[in-house]
Amino acid sequence: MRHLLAADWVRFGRRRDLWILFALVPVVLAIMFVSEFNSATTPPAFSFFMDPPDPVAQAGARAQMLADWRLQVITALPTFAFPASLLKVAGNLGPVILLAIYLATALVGGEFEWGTVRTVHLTSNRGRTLAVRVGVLVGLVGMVMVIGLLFAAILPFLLSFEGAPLQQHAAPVPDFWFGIVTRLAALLPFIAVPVLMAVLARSTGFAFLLILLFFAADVAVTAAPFWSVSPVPWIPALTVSGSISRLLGAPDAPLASLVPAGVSMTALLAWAVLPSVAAISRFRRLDLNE
Amino acid sequence: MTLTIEATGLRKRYGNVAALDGLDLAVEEGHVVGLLGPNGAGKTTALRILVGLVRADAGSVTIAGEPVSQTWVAGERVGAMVATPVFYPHLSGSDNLRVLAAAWGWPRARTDARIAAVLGLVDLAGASGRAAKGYSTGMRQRLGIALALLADPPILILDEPVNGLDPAGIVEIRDLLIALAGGGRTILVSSHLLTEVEKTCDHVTIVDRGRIVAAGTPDVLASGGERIELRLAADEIPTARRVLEAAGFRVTQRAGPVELWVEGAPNGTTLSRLLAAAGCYPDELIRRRDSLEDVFLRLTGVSDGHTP
Repeated sequence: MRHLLAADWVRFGRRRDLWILFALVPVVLAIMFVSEFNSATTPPAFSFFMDPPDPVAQAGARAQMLADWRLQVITALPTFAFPASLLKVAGNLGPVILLAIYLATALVGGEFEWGTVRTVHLTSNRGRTLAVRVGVLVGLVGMVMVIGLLFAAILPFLLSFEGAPLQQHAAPVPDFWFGIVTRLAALLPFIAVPVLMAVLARSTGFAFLLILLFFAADVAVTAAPFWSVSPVPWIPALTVSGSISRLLGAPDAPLASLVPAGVSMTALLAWAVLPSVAAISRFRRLDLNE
Repeated sequence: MTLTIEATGLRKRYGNVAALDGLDLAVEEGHVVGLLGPNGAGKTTALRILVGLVRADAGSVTIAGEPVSQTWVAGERVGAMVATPVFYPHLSGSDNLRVLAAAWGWPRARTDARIAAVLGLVDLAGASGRAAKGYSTGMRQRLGIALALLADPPILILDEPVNGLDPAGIVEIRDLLIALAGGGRTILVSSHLLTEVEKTCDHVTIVDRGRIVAAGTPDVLASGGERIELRLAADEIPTARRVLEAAGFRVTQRAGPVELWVEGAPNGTTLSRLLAAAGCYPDELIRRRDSLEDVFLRLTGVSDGHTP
């Protein structure tokens, strides 16, 4: 395993696109955090017109609006302060999901496109090589998340609201570690499914198409209206998108009533493990005509 | 006799096309065997199956006694270059080799030494730091051979190793193969370049339409084709033919009215005497034997690039 990891380091350590993405995604996560904070703490524009103008009523309405906004900000500030900031950054899954899909298709589909899958076959055990590659992908995405979380740990100490440090609003976060683990686990299907699709498609471009279709189908299944009247109403909570929504959504969200959180977590992990196993199994027996 | 590579009854279909149709192949230890065949004869498919890249529909393969399947790993024991050489385009020539060495767990010193050695062997030392995507066809071919040689394996399987090389490169690779064979390696090399196989290999296997049509040393394969070629005046041909056939030789008229091929004659002197006695005096009398090319063309039915 160690040797295969070393080989992957030689293979991919000099790919500039990977390094650029690797550096870019945590920065994007940090920018998203700061812009979300700025958006939440920027006073709303006051545009309240009366005809005929009534300066006293206008001033009163303005004061009321600012008071409401301030109340909202004060409620939201603890979610930007450390340690809740970690959950906020880890919850911005979009850029990391895109990175995971890109990495998985590029690092697996690329082998087919270049034909180097032949070298892989001749050099080392195919199944073990792909298993290590999945591990490398998990590690890379995990490292990006860790860097993003480092930003999330530092930024709250640099931000302030109305001149006071943001950290003044820090509050304990219930189920903090469950929240972090859930957010990290939510990324795993976006590695495993693309790896399977890359093995099936044997290219990056076609793999992207299959991945798009898969997750579109997943969302469609989750959102389909007929489950509630079917004998299996819990299906939406077991899809990739459904299980993530169930785990990251509000406790009183509709999906939460369908299955316990543990079931959705199990489903999420199954969406990570089963496609990986299927990809490795398929790869071991594939005719390599590339 | 120790068989290093043995394939029995290999069959492989791609849709309606039978790429291999019961191919048997045996390569003895320490021999250099040429797998000859026209384009589409099944050579590359056979090699793909031999190294486990592709599963045969039927038949079996063993290399060094181990059954080969898609889960078999050539590793350091078998150096293979099958079909067009492939590389990580963003990596340099030496880093492409380094990937293999890393996967095999080689220490840095051994890796550096072997990479320098094999790149020197294939005359790529000067371009070792350049990205492989910038390599010419000939350089890619050389790098492919370097990949196969990296572990200094006792068994080499090379598919069209001189493809894309210039004449000087072909000679270099030919000399390299001869030198490698001298080291006791077992080498299976596929090619459609007959002269290269004739010069490099001690055994030849001719494959056509997915099956073996002949196998043996180049001498044995060509031994059936000894003949004496006669050029005569056109009016002497019928007499000469009658006399020679009466003497028990097999005579065929070739390439127009003035050339006779005589098979079975012990020597030219005997023919000259017989013909002179009949009043025929050949312009030319040449003793010839089939070249490997003649055998190949005869067995595969390929002529002028067309398969009948």
